[in-house]
Amino acid sequence: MILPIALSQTGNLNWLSFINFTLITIIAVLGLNVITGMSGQVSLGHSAFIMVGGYTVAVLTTQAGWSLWLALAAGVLISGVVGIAVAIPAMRLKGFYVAVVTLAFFFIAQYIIKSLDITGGIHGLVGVPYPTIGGLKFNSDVSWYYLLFFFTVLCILVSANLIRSRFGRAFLAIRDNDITASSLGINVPVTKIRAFFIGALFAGLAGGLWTSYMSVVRMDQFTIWDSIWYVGMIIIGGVGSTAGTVMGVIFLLLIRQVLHVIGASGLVPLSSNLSAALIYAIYGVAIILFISFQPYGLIAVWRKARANYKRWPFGV
Amino acid sequence: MLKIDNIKVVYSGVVLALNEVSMVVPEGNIVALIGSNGSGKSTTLKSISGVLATEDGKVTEGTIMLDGKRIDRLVPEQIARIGICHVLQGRSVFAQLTTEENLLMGAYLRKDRQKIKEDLYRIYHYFPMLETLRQQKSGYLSGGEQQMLVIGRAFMARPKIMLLDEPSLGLAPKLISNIYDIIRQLNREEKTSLIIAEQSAVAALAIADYGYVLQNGRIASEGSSEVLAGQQAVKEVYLGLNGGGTFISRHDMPSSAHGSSSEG
Repeated sequence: MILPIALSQTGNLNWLSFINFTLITIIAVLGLNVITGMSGQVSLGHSAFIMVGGYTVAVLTTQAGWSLWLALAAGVLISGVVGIAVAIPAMRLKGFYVAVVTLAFFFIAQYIIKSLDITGGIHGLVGVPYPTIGGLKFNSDVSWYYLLFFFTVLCILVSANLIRSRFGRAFLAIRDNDITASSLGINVPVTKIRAFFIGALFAGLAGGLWTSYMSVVRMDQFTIWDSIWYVGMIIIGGVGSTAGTVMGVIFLLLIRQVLHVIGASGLVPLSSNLSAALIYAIYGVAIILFISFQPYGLIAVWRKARANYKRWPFGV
Repeated sequence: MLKIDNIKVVYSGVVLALNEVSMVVPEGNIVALIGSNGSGKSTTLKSISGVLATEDGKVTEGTIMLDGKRIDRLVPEQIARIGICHVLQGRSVFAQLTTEENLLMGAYLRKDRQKIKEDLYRIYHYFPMLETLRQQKSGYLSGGEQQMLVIGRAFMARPKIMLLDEPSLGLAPKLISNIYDIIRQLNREEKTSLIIAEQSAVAALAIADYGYVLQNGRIASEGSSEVLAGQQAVKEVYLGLNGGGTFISRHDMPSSAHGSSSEG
């Protein structure tokens, strides 16, 4: 909690905005974890759900004059509805085919938003307002940190409780064995639709908050690469686990940030092009290493470390 | 009462899996379904529970009725809702869920929280081993424990009819008789009807009231379990016994052993 004050005292706002960006990403990827991690529907369209949330907030605030909070609620809901729309063709499919449908959805969503006038086309929209509570305006990195921290904790709690509920267990059931699930009375298609809906709600929230935080929205904020990064974060963190998702996001973004800082500092003779390429190479190597040596992700590493700590000196 | 009337099941539109199969499962009864590999036991159970569609199979002729209501055009979750629970072959636990969470998934359709809790303890009473493992991830349980878990999970749904597909598969004989004792107990005390598909006919016929012998997708023989266990053909083919103590291959069977029916 005191971290942002310490950082702002040292004047290092780069790191603070990195932390804020990480929190937004955690919210988004928690949503993908519901779809892909818990329910087993690999989605490559997660950026597009974030995009829908972000653009809804931007359009409603700058074009229709809605207040930010109302627009944010609308963004979350519309993203959820779009999630249902994507799930309807995807619900009859499995594995790879779901990934293809969601991939197609990403490009369709991108095309539609790019072609509309109301969204500002390829230039995007500027002047998205900051949120206010009473007289308090969230217009600094420090205040945003607290706001995002609140939303992130909220989303973590929702996600962690979801998996303990009857509702959330049905997601795991259709992932682990859909035929058995259906013979226990779980409606598999409806459960898949629910997963996409809930996952898209998280993404819509992340998109809306991000747009307001940046106060602009642009097409190139939401790329297919991000979608793939998100899937990687889940794999590295630990598929289906809320804590693992948080760890995966922090781990990968931290690698990216550290490489950025090293590249920018000039300590190592890396051109910016090279360091950008290096990020993808390291990302790829990390995923390969995790799948081969630690398929249950960072969360499994953490659990093992914790168990060993308790058992000391009798570890394995 | 479940009544299967003259059904024909076809996979992928071309592969005939069942033909002219008729069965009756009176309330509270245990019915054994015995037969060798590929004889159509699993297909029969799948056509009752509706999961046939997930394997591109279809009941093309005949009807399946539960208490006078036709169910062979329903989807699996609808069939589960009206009280038929299918325990698939091969211990299909939800590996990432704990034992207790698995059991609670069985009660997915039920809303009566208090009764669910009571039933959970009832299951722990029938399968004490499951209670000691309640917080374990079910993927780490042994084969026998997983088999107990899936039976317990099906019971949590409080079905009228439970379909068990090869509960003895890959288990030690001692464990098989232990599990069958509990199945019998569940049937007597909780009034659950059961259809048990089994390759090892001895165990299944020992607790069943009635039995059907399937062969190449047809009912080759049927009768009360005592009669069936005494039948020469069944003894030879499925129990591996014969009077002289020599092994008889299925292909050497006298043709009169096929299609004989002792009672209707």
